[in-house]
Amino acid sequence: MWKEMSRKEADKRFEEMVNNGFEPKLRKNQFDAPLRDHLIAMHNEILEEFSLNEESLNKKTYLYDLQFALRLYNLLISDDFQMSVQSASSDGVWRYISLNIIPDIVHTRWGSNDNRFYKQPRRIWVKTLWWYIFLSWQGSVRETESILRSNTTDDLVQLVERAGANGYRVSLSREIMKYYGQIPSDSDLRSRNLFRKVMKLNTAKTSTLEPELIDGGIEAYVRDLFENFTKELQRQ
Amino acid sequence: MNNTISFFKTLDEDMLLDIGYQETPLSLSFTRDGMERFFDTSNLGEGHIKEVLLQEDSYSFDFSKDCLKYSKYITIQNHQRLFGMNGLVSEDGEVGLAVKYYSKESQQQYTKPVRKFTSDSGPIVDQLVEIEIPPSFFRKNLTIEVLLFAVSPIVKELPGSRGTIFGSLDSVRCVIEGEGGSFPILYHDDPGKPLWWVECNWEDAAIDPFHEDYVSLNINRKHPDAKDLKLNKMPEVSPMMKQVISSALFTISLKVLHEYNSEQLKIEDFDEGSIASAISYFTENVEGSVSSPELLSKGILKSVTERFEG
Repeated sequence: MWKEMSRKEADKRFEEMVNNGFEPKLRKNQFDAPLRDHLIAMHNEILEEFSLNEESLNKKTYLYDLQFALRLYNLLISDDFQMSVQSASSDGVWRYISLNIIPDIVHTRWGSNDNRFYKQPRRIWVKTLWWYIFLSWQGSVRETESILRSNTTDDLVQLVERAGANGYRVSLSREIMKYYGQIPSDSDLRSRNLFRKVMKLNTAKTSTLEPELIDGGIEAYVRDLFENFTKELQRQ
Repeated sequence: MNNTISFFKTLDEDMLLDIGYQETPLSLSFTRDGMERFFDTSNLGEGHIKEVLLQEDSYSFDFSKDCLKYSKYITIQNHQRLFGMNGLVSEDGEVGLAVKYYSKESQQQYTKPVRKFTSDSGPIVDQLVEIEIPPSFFRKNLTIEVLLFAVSPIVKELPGSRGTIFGSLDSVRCVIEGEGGSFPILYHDDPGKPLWWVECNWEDAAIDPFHEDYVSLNINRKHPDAKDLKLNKMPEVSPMMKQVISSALFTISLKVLHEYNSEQLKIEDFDEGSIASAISYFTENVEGSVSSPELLSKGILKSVTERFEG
């Protein structure tokens, strides 16, 4: 079902698209075309719902990315496509989606930036969107959207690009995103790089300790993590 | 291993000896058709990096569908050595055992506490350390570790030191997918299908890997003749299985030869691990070369028989 694309194959495919245009290349099966149709419909729905066009989309990147990410995640984990975490951790799968299923959408968002199509595994756009939602998931699209609405592209990057040496701690990431999502959008705390500071401190702390093994669990750990900064910032 | 400078004592080889650490051989298993099946862990060395290939006799483990169960018993005879001045935590502190499993390739790590103990709670004898790892999370490799951690702060002045990891009592690396080289065989249980068939899904044999996503020999275990394949005797290969593998390789070779002629197969620099490179390597040593289908078929059968007979 999920097809993987090797790095070499991706090089070849990208070069082909640079020369001939960013058009999809679908397998003749029951999978690729329905997947593309859904993703295109989602893209158009977002443009219409938020009165965006291809120019304004690149001025409201976080709004577009979040909306597309939520829909993408929900679609891919649905019964129709059944993407598991196992599949989602394969760069080959994302290279295939990026380069063969929706190269036109990726091109609209990122132009000919090959890093966002396939070259930099941590920066493959569709992959970062899926993992952003997976690591923030609160049980439903609505709940997840409500905690992510006030974030920025930098917050997305801070979460997704800090996988750590042995991978993401999924429950911890979700708790951090929940806590951060409860800080009001107009709070001064958000404008002071709070999330970046929290994620940096978390990286330092988890090099020696495991938050899931602390009495009080990850809730207590996350509260302490944020309070290191919120109390100080509130005092200023 | 990380390169962090530690400001507290950690579990080292000397301490491991002092605490009288003992363990039973680990068991790695999964359940299929109501029966628990075990992976071979009998040749794991002690003190080295332990590695287990998640493959068993029926070759049916599938980490996208099956749970993986890890279990072993551990004993810490002299647990008091972990407490006090020369220990890891203060005399009245508390230490815990936990299991951590992670995979860098799958970008995830999980940790579960097993138990806590104090200096007064008596030695740890035959403590069961068991974990079931759910399906469809991991690929490539998975490491499972038994950890010792600080339940209480290491010292009272450092309340933030709860949860500190002192070190690993055991570590095993499970190889979920090998790095290739073996023939991709997929098993089916469908009485309505033939005994075997080949699937060729590649787009470019020079690029696509010799992997089940692109090419596979499919075996139907519910076919009346399947008993003659003697799958339960694998990795020993029955005479009929040799015939099936030879025919499958012949079919794949013919298809590759439609895309790349015999001269190209000899000289082209195909992607490492690709289908074309595998067939090129295989046919290179086949007597009679690839000059005609009948010679190719004969040569493949001879080569396959010799390989399995060592």
